[in-house]
Amino acid sequence: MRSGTKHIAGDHHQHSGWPRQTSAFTLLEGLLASMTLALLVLGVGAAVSAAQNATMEGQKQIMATIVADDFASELMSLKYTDLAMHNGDLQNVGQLKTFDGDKYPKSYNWLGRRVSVNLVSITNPSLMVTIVGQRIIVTAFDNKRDLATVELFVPEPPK
Amino acid sequence: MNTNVNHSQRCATVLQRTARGLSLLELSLSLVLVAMVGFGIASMMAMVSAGANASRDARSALQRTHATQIRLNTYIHPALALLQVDAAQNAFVLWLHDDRPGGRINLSEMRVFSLDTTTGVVSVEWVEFPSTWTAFDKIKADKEYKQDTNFLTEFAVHRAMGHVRSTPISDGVVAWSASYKTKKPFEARRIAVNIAVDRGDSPSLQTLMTFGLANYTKPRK
Repeated sequence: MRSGTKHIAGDHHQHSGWPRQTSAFTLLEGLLASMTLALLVLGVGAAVSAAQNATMEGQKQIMATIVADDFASELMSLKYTDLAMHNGDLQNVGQLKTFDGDKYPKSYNWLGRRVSVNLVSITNPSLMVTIVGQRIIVTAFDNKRDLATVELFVPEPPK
Repeated sequence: MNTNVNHSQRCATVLQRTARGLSLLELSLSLVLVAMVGFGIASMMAMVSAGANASRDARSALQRTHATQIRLNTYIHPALALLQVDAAQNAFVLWLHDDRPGGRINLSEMRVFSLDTTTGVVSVEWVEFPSTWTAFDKIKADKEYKQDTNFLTEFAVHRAMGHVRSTPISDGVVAWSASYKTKKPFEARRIAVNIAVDRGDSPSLQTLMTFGLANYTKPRK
């Protein structure tokens, strides 16, 4: 917002010196410009950060699903009568192990998992059939919350 | 002669000549500032771009890992037994089903899982006899094997004869190895597979997958 000196033909005026008549940016203008730039940079930074968080969240979900699937698959190798023994199994964050004692790689150290095994009966009213079996729920979690849950139903084998 | 007009014209001329622009110092300073801001923004964008690339590679590796897990589980979960693990050949063999009943291992009942380290592709192979063969020929060629047979060698023979088909399971795999905790592979009810998946410029993603054989059956011979 520089203002020029106006000269109208016919006017007779006195020069009082150039430095007084030129105007630079005012402090307010400078502050406004700085704030605009800062807001712009902050906005871009926030957008990038949000995108990275969303990506990380997706990666966490996949890893949690992998470890939950693993545990469910291992449980399926057990006899039906042995399933209930694993109700309440808990592997805290950073302590993931397979049934056979193998430790998970370091990239999984931020995950934990737990299992619940409950005897349930499922009735199909239209068929008048009731099936008894074990409902297995495997949950993978991190320090903050549950990330993935895998649920299975194993019917009781015929005696 | 109008003296006022002349004076104004002179002033205008003087003003045009002496209108204050940016001094060299100011111009230099402003250019330096613009360059610094530009460099800062370029650095930030480069960092963001590198971060986005790394995230993309990591996500891709995880998706391939998960796809590998699901596809392997499709075979291993219903399989009857693990027959052989060969670390040197990056391969393991499963007894998938007993379609020719009797509790013995037939050639057509096996599946070979192997990693081609040159292409990074994990694939599954199985024997499929030529369609021109009669049912009798196929039964005759579908041999029975003992538990301790070197199944990979048998497969190699049939591969050379053109009787083996394969399909890819996963790509971008750098290394993998299968393991079990029992003395003999066919006694194992669970299989652990360590897998390293390519992650672009970053180190490969190390993953452990475990599988349970829900229909475990010990071969009769």
